[in-house]
Amino acid sequence: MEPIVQVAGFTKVYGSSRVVDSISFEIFPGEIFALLGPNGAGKTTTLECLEGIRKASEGKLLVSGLCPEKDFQKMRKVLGVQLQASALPDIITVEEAMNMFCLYLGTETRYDLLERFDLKSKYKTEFCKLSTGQQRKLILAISLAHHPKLLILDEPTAGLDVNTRVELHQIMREERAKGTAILLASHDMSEVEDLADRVAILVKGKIVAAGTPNEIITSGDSKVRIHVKTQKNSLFDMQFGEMPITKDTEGYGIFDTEDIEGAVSQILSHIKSNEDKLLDLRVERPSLEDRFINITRSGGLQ
Amino acid sequence: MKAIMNHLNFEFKSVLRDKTLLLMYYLFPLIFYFMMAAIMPSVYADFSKGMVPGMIVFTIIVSSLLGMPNPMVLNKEKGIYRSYKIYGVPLKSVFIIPVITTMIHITVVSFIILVSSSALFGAALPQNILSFFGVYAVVLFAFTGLGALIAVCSPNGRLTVLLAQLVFLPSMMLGGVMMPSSVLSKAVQKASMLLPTTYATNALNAVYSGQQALFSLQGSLYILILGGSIAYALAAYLFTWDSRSSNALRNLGGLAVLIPYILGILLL
Repeated sequence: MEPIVQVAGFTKVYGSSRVVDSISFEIFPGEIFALLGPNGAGKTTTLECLEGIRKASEGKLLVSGLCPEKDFQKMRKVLGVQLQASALPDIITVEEAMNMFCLYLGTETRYDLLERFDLKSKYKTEFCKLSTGQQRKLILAISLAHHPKLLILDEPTAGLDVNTRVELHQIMREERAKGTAILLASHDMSEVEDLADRVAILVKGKIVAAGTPNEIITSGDSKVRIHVKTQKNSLFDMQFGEMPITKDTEGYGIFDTEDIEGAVSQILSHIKSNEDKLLDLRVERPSLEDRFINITRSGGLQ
Repeated sequence: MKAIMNHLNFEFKSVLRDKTLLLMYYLFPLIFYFMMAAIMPSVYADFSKGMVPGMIVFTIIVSSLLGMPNPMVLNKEKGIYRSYKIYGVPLKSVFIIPVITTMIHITVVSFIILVSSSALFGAALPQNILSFFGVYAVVLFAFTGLGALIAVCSPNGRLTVLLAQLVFLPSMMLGGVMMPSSVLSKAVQKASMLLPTTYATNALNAVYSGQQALFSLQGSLYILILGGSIAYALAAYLFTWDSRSSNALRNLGGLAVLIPYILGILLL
C-alpha cells in the first residue's frame, strides 16, 4: 500500500535552533498516526510544514505525492486540517462558513456533515456564539467537507467535555474506516492509546520512540504494579525478598514486579500463613502516559 | 468566481452586522456630516462651498484608515487568515475583498452626502459629474491602498489605530477637510502636502466647483495614483498570513509610500 504521508530526513531550523532534527515517518490510508511530545518538541512545526504553511529547511515531505510547499493549492484538495486554534470570523454563521469554504474547496455545501455533527439547529448561529465543542465540530466538518485523504488534527479534543470528546473520537474512527489517514497531535495519552494505530514520540525535535501504543508501552521496563489491601495489614511486617513494598495513603501495599505469577502467589501464601484476610488485589499494567513520562523525563535516552 | 462572489457578499454583510464597523463606515461619517452642515455655515460662511468634497474625503479617510485596517489586523492576529489559507482561500480574496467592500460602503455614504447636501442644505451639485466621479475614484484608490498598507504593516490593533491617527488627525486639521488649505500659511501649506488628503481635497474641490485648483489638479491626480499604486504594491509584497510571520524591520519598507507625497512637496 502506498503511504499518504512520506517524511524523510525532515529538519526545520529557526535561526540557530534545530526545532525538528531529521525525522522520518510514513502514514498509510486508514491509519491514525499520533505525534506525541512535550511542549516545544516540534510537533506543531512538523504539522505546519506538512500543511504547507511553513517551509522545511531540509528533507522530503510528501502528502499524496504532492510537495506541501510547491503544490500548496493542489494539496488543499487532499488535505483536511483542524488547527490547534482554528479561527473563523466571529460573525460568520455556521451555514455561511460551510458554504464559503465548500465553494473555495470546489465541493457542494455539506449540509449532511452539519447534520452529522449536530449543528443543524445552529445554521444561523454566529461562530462566536457557538460553544467550544460546537466550534471544533464546525471546523472538523469543514475539514472533512471535500473528502480529504489526510486529516491533520492538532489537539482536537483539548478543553472539551467528555461527551463531545467521545463523539469526536467516534467521528475519527468512522473516518479511519472510510480509508482517511489521520495525523493526530495530542497531549491526551488516553485518547492516543485508545485511538492511534501507531505513535511517534518527539523529544527536542527527534523521534525517540515509535511503534504501536502497545509496542511503546512494552518497550520500557516490563514491571507491573500490584495493589493489595488486607484486613490486618500483615503485608507490611514482612520482607518479600527483592520485591520492595510501599504503602499508599489508603492502606494499600504496592509492589512493582516483573513476575506477576510469582508475586501474587507469594502474597497470597503470606496472607494465609498470617491468618490475614485479602480485601482487594489489583494488577496494573503501565500506561502509555507512564511510558511517555519515562521517555520524556530521560530526554529520550531510554 | 462563485466562491469569490460569495465571500464578497459575506464581507459586505459583516460590516452591517458588526456594530463597530457600522459606526466607522456609516454612523460616524454621516453624523459628522450632518453636524458640520448644520453648525459650520454659521461659523464660517464659505463652508458650504467646499462642504461636499470635504465630507466625502472625510468619509473616505474614516472608512479606509479607521474602519478597514482594524478587522484585517485582527484576522491576522487571531489566525483567521491562517485558517483561510489552509481551507483554500486565495491571497487575492483575502486582500482584495475587504478593499472592494470598503469601496462599496464608502460610495453608498458618499452618494447619501451628495444627494442630501443638495436637498437639505442647498449645496450645488458637481459642475462636471463625470470628472467628479473620476477624481473620486482616484482618491478612493489612494486611500484604500494606504489603509491596506497600514493593515499589512501593523502587528496589532493598538498600533493600527496609532498609525491611522497619524494620518487622520493632521488630515483633519491641515488637509483641507474642515477649512480650505488657502487659509493656512505658505509653510504649513507646503508641509500639509505630505498628506494625501491635501491632494484629494485640492482635486475634488476643483472638479466639484469647476474653479481653479489651489495647486496643479493634474499633478495632484498623478501623486494620488502613484501613492495608491505604491501602497497597493507594498501591501501585496509585505502581506503575511499570520502575525507570527510578520517582520517589523521589513515592514518599515512601508514608509516608501511617502515618496510620491515628498515628490509633491518638491515639484508642485
